[in-house]
Amino acid sequence: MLQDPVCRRRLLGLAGLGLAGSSAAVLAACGGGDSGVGGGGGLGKTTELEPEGTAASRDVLVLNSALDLENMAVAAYRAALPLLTGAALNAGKTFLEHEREHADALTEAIRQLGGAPNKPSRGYDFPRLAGQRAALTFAADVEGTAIAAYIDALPRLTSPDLRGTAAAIVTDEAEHLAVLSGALGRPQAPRAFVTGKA
Amino acid sequence: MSDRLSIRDGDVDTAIVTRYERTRREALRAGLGTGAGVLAAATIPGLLGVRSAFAQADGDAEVLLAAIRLEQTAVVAYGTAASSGLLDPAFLATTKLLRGQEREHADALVAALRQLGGTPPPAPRARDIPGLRGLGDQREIASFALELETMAVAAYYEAHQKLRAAPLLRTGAQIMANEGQHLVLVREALNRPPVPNAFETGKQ
Repeated sequence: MLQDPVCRRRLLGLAGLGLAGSSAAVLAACGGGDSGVGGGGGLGKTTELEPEGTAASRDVLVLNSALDLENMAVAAYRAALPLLTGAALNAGKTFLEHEREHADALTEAIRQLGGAPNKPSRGYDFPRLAGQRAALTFAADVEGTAIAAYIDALPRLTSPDLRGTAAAIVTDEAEHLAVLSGALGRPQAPRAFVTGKA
Repeated sequence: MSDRLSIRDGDVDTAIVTRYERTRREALRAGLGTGAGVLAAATIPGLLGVRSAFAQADGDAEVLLAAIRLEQTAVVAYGTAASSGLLDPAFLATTKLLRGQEREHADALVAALRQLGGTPPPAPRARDIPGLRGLGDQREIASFALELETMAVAAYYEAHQKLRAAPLLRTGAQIMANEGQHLVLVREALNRPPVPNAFETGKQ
């Protein structure tokens, strides 16, 4: 998990999900909603800031935000892989492939909705990684960020099928986080409700 | 929303049992053995009953009822496993962790259901969960847990296509993600790949 909120903001910014741009507007709106049943919000409270536009265009906006994160995760694993060995390297390779599959699926979904998929950034200003533990910690931070973003954004998707897909992806990211946490000697399932937040 | 809530997953129906028997026979013919781990997800009749409640549920309250029943089943199953005397210390600790987290899920879902004016169902008894009794060793228990968690993920995956309230969708995602982490722990205990698919839908 991201222990440092500044670092989380930095990662979100790296993914283009920070404080500027249309994608950011979606996530900023998401962050203003209820955190869940345990978050103190009443179940009848459904008033959240909704982006303007058709249902499809709103879904495209959310999906492009997710695509930005997945593209960043692909770049993050590519940066981490050279520092990993043994079982950690095998896990890293698997998770890199998973992130690519997520990005491909999101790209396809955006196209099916008539949208234009965001392209990966030309480069990401990742922190310098010194060794396997730093690489695993960085990967865990990226996964935690993705989990938090997906859970916040999921209710904004209007398509039930897309909500299911987002849930399947966030569960996969949570599984990645469990494996990475295990490799770091941390509890693999520390909380009954996975929020991606420290 | 109706004022009255009903539980649709009562006794397991004959068709479900028939399907289970057919699947088991087919597995035997294929030389796969009879262990729970070799069968596809949710092939145990009792679990299918819980699982089918999700498929039939319509509306937030009914989905909550099905989810509560699922979580209650998991709490009882893990409690039975933990007290079986068949587990080594490491897997016993895992089992107790999973039981505690399933209980947290159940408690949160019960609170949510009560906010909607519903009444939670009574918890099942261990003997009401076919497939639970007769598990003879740790590997069989872990295989049962694998099936239970896989079914849970599948159920929450479907629930995301039915739930309406944003807070419930978020909570459902948080729980589903946790069930995925449970799957990692159980798969590792069974020496299986911990994250075999990019999309965790609970379908094998």
